Formats: sequence, C-alpha cells, structure tokens
Amino acid sequence: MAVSILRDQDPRFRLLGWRVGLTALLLLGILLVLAGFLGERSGLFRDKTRIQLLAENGTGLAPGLQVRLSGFRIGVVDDVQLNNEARVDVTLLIETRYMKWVKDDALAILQQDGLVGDHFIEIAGGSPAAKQLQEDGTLTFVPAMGLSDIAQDLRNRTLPLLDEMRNTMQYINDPQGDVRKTVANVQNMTAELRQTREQLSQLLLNLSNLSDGELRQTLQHTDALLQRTDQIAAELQQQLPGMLADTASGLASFKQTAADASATMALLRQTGEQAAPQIPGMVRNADELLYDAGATLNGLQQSWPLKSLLPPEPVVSFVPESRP
Amino acid sequence: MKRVRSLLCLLLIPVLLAACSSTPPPVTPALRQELAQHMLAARAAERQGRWLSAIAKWQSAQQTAQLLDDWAAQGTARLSQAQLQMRIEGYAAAAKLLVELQPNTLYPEEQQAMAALLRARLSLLGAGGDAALELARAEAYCRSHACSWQAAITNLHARLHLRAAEPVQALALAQDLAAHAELAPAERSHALRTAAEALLLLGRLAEARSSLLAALAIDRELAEPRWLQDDYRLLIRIAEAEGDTALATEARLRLGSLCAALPGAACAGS
Repeated sequence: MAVSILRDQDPRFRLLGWRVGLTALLLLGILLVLAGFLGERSGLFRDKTRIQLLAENGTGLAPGLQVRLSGFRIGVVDDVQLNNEARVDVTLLIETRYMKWVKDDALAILQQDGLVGDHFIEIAGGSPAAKQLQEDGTLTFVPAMGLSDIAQDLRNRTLPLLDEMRNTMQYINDPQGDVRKTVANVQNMTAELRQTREQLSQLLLNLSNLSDGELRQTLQHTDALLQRTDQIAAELQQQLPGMLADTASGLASFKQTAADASATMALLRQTGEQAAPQIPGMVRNADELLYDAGATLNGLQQSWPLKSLLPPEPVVSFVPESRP
Repeated sequence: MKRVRSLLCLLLIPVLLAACSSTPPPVTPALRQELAQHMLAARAAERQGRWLSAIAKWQSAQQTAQLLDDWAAQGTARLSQAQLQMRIEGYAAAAKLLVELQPNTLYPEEQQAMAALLRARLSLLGAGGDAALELARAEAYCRSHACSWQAAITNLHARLHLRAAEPVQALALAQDLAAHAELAPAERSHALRTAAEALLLLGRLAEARSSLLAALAIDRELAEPRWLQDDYRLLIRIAEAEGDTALATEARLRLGSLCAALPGAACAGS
C-alpha cells in the first residue's frame, strides 16, 4: 500500500488543504463568471415584463418556447396552466426594453419553424397608435392552423367552385338541355331549308317541259313550298335570338364560372396576404412550405458528408456562344 | 510543468465555451439568398439540358434582381434567357430580351457587348438586323478590355465571311482559331465546322471532311444534338460532292435519327 508508507511530513502535503480550497474556489469563480456571461447573453438578468395569453387548447404550447417580434427573440413562455374553464392560461416573459413595440392590439400567433421545426410565438399586428401593453396585460392569441385545417379550408372554398363547373358541363352536355337542343334544331332547320331549295331548283329546271295546266299546278306547289320556306325562315328568325341567347347564357355561365375561379384564387391569395399576421407562417401559402422544404434540402446539401457526394455548384457567370 | 499544463487547461475551457457562444456571422438578406438560389438552379438546369426549366428559373432570377435593383444580375438573367431561347428556336423572344439591353447604360458595358454578339448571331440566323454592325459593337468592347469570349466574335466573323461568299477569309479566321488548343471546346468545334464549310466551297473536299470529322468528335463529347444535326447536314453535302454515297447515306441515317428525336428548323427538308 503506497499511501500507508507516505508520511504527513512529506513536503508535498504542505498546505494541502489551502491548495485544494484555492483550486475549488478558482473553479467556482470560473463557473460563476461563465454562468454570468451566458446568462447575460441569453437575457437572464434583463428586466422582464409578464404578459398573459388565453388559449383554447395547449397544443404546441410549452414553457420555454421562444417569443419573437419581427423574427427577433424578445422573450420566452414562462408558464402554461389549465384554468377553471378548461382553457389554457399562458404566461410570457418579455424583455422590458422590447415592450415599447408590444401594443395592446397586437396578436400573439403560434407559429412553427418550417414543417418539422420548433414552435414559437410571434407577436405581430400591433398598430403604431395603440398603447403599449402593461404588465400582466392580455394579448389576443391566434392558434396554429394544422395541415388538416388548411385542407378543410381549401376544400370549403374550392368545392362550390367545382360543383358550379360540373353543373355547367352537365347543362351543356344534357341531350334535353337548351344548348344541345338548340344545336339539333339549327341542324334540322338547315337540312329542311337545303331540301326545299333542292326541290325548288328541280321544279324550275322542269318548268320548261310543262303544259299550262301542269304549270299552274306546279306554281301552286311552288307557292306552297315558298310559303313553307318563308315559314321556316320566320321560325328561324324567331327562334335564333332565343337560341343565341341560350348559347350566350351558356357562355356567360362559363365566363361566370371562370370569374368565380379567378375570384376564389384572388380571395385565397388576398386572405393569405391581408391576414398574414393572423395565420402562422407555415400556412401562409404553399410556396412558403416549398421554400422551407427547399431551404432544408439546401441545408442538408451543404452539410457533410452529403456535400462531398454532390456535384460542384455551377459557375453563375454568363459566357456567350457563337454557334447557332 | 504539470501544474502549468493543468492551469492552461483550466483557462482554455472558459475561452472555448465563450467562443462557442460568440455572435454568429451576419445573415445574407433573404432576397439576395433567393437570387443566388435561382441563379444556381438555372445554371444547373442548363447544364442538365432542361432548357425550359432553366428559362423559368432565369425569369425568377430576373424578377428578384429587379427587386434588388441589381442590374448586373438582371443582365446575366436576360442574356442567359436569350441564349436559351435561341437554343429552342425562340428567336423572337430572344430578340425581345436583347433589345432591352441595347440602349440601357445601367447594364454593365460587357453585358451590352455580349448582347450585341447575340444579336449578331440572331441576325445570321435570319432574324433581321445588321450582323456586321452588331459584331463591330462587341469587338469594340473587346479591343479595350480583356475579353474571355473573343473566340465567339472571331467565329461569327468567319460565319459572316461565309455568308458573303468569301471562303478564303472565313477559312483563315477559322483555322487560326482552331489552332488554339486552349480554346473552349464549343468554340473550337464551331471553328472546325466553319473551316470545313469554307474548304467545301473551295473544293478541298478531303480537308473539309477531315475538319468536319474533328468538329463532330468534339460535338459528340459536348453532347449537343443541334450541333450534331448541323454537322451531319454539312457532312451530307461534302459526301455528295466527293461522290461518296456510302458516307452520305450513313450521314442521312444519323441525321434522320437525330431529327426523329429532336425535330426543329434544322431538320426541315432533311
């Protein structure tokens, strides 16, 4: 046993207690400085203002979530509690120096970084003229919209449009409908006119070969034919405006449907743009989702070892070619 | 010594921890990142031969560059789109894109010169305009600046001589150009092809054939179907002039196969 043969008088044991204590103190000091440094950087010692939110449910809400304003971290979620009305009380701690931008008509929107990122609360929509929110004031909370909600919303908007288009197509294709009937009527009348014209031509050709009696009889026949032609022409004249009106009404219906589609798309876009502060970033539009996915993919592509497997990025400068 | 090392380690730990919590580098603005992404995606699509996708990407890049008031990037996008439009025989669209670059001094001078070169190309393709004048504009820039695309100007000069039925001058320019080993393969093959056409006009058929076969070898390497079509049409003319029916038949078969896969103006009458 090596320890048993060491004596207390060994010079290496001199002031051993002091030395151990000093080292421990030094380490403690370093740890405190570090903790202070990191705490300062993360805003731990900065003055905070407590504000409240009232949420219908606590999905996605948890203590420690970041609170952002214009993309900057300005605070954290301090507490999430179920209240007596089975709703959720959320307490936020906002750095007081940022409170000047948190107006009492601002919205607290639950958002998510991309598809798979962390949730955070974005404070947005406060009007410059509104008053600054006071300590323990309550902000209006806008919950995150799930993918199923977006799908439902889109479905609600697009289904009436599709129904209208289907009805229009049915109306056009219906054999008993106005459009098909109109076309059939025009075809029949045109055929009758052609037949009558042929009969008249035939009669005129045979006129020279007829006797007086036959001529009279034939002229009477011709007169009847002409009357019939007049009748058809009159009928056409009478019905054409209606037919044209029917066709125009079909076209108008089509135009209306197209306008509806355009209006719906405009409405969707407008909703996305105007209500942007009220809808989580993830659902503003599909472009953003794709953009996020693209950004994630780019990030992956930039990281090792994928980066080494991918071909080098092309040079962006332009070089003109001479060959046609 | 051991103590000093321990002390150093102790001091190093907080330094390392502080370094880890240092401020991240400044973030590039979102629109700038978007522009860079559009440009890279467009070039990648070009490289992969997806011309229509490349044009769409360049359009997005142009729009983003407009938002950034970045005229150089707009110029790059316009020039690239024009060159791609020419590849898919969209000559009217190419001309429209290039017209925008002509009088606008906000675009860099080099890009205006490049636009002049492309307009000369369009003119040679029969889209109107004065090819010689446009080439002179491009050349004026390259005379006063270092120009990496001088070869393209020389090639187009040679083509202009061919069009003016001056095969001797065309041959001199093209052969001089083709002799440069460091030349970009596309320009080298173009020079060899122009030399072959000039030699055909001069009746030096064996040399014409040899020059064209060298151009064909490069174009196969470059995998450019339209240039291969152009080469085979000339090869048919050379083979017919030589009376080599076997070669003419083979060239026709190859051209027919190319045209079946990629129809266009180059295949008309083939």
